[in-house]
Amino acid sequence: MHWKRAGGLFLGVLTAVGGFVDMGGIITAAQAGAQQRFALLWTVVPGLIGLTIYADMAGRVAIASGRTLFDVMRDRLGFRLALIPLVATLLVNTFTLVIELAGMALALQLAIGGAYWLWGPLMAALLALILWTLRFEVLENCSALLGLTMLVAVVAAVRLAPPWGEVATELLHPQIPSDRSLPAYFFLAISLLGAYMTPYQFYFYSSGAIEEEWDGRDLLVNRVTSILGSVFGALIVVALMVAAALVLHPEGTEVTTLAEAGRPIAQSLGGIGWGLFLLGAFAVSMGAGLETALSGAYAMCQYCGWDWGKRGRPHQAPLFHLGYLGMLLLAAALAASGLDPIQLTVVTLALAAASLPFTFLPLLIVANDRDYMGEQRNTLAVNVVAIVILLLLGAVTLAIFPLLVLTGGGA
Amino acid sequence: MELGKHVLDKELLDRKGYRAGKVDDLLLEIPELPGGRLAQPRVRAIITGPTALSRNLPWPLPGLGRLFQRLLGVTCPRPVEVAWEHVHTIDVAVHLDIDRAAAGLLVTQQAAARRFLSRLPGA
Repeated sequence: MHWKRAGGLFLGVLTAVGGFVDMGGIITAAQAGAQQRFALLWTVVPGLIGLTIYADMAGRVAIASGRTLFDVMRDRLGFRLALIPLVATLLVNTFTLVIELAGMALALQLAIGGAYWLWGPLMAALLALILWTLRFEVLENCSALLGLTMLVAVVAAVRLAPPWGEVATELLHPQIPSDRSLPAYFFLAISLLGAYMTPYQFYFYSSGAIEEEWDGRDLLVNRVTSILGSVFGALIVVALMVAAALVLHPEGTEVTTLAEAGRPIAQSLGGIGWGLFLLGAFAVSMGAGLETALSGAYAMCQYCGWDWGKRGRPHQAPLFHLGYLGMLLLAAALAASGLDPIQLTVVTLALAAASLPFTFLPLLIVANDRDYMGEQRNTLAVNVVAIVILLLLGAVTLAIFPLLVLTGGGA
Repeated sequence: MELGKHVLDKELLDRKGYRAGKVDDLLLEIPELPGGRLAQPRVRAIITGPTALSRNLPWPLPGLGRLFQRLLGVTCPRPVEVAWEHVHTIDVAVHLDIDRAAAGLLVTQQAAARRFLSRLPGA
């Protein structure tokens, strides 16, 4: 294997870890452990399978046809129908961006103090500066490397000595709890699915494959990275949930701040663990924030046929660069407006999960289209698994609004 | 060829392979035969650009589309026509044999670059 491809593999894995865990993932995983103990561990399994299989599909479509996800979605759905995923994606992306800005701001506030309403817009300015000046590879790799510090959650969970048998049972043979509020249980399950498979990741992945000029030889790398990275990411999520279940659940604490989400790690590993958790939370939020802002601009430009991409100078793709700057501006305003970022997280991610079928269905159709895919079309096995995941998410889409009303937004 | 499936909504690429917008709409011509009967429709042109796209969308998007372009600095937003003769090949995209800037396919992007990006350092 060429050294550059090996490097690509390594970095791809790191990126995928960042994709699985971001501010939304940290909050929802800790909340799930605190509220439902081990009862929602099973969500990692469909999340992991769904993310892997659809990210691989997005990469394969990009490599085989040279077209990005939104480009083929518009071609297949037509401009009217494709407007639904576009609007859904831009909305979910903007709110996800607010959450990631909040993640960076709250981590900084906990580490060095200062006011949250000030840090939010400052972090938006930082992201804008990074996107404006740095090359695609640099910005992708920096945040991915720093984000690995979130592995501290795994060490923390192991040191808390969880009952491994019970963890394994809940992971693989889940039982719907009989003693708790079911709407709250399902709402949180949906938020978790949205945290594992946030729509921006698929647009980012597909556009990244075109930006980095992947070809047929990158197919294997594409597959290995999406699987390995997601497994690492899932490990971190399981650890966060287990640690929260052991420390927060017995006290009956609900996670309403980033500090509470990190407390199990601090309790297990002390000051060093706390520091690494804050660094990790900052880094994964920054990485996801960069990807979210880019992904919104990608989607918009690819729907309209405008120039996009980080390769050239801004003046070569003006509406792409104005697109992410506009999204950051809007997100900064929302972050400063006093929206509660933790409450926003659970609702946004539930909506993200509900919007996923609008992305996955066209992707699945195109991945089976001989005109686009040639020999790289989906195999039967992939289709069967992909359809099961799609049906699960379809049920989520139907259930989300009744659940929003029943739970009052998961509160 | 099914126009809806094979032409509409595909990406336009100019003669150098640069992105040049989407096939947002098609201009059809139905010639009248002697005796008042109508001949088969023919495609005269590809219509593209934000105005071409938004005018086919439900209210209030047509108005918003024009407003958006004016904000970006397009003085008189209108659809751009590319004569069908300029279509070279069609595969997963529609390949044209013209230059995108010369054909007026970059109007919105150039206006936005002039109005906003020229004021920012490092653009």
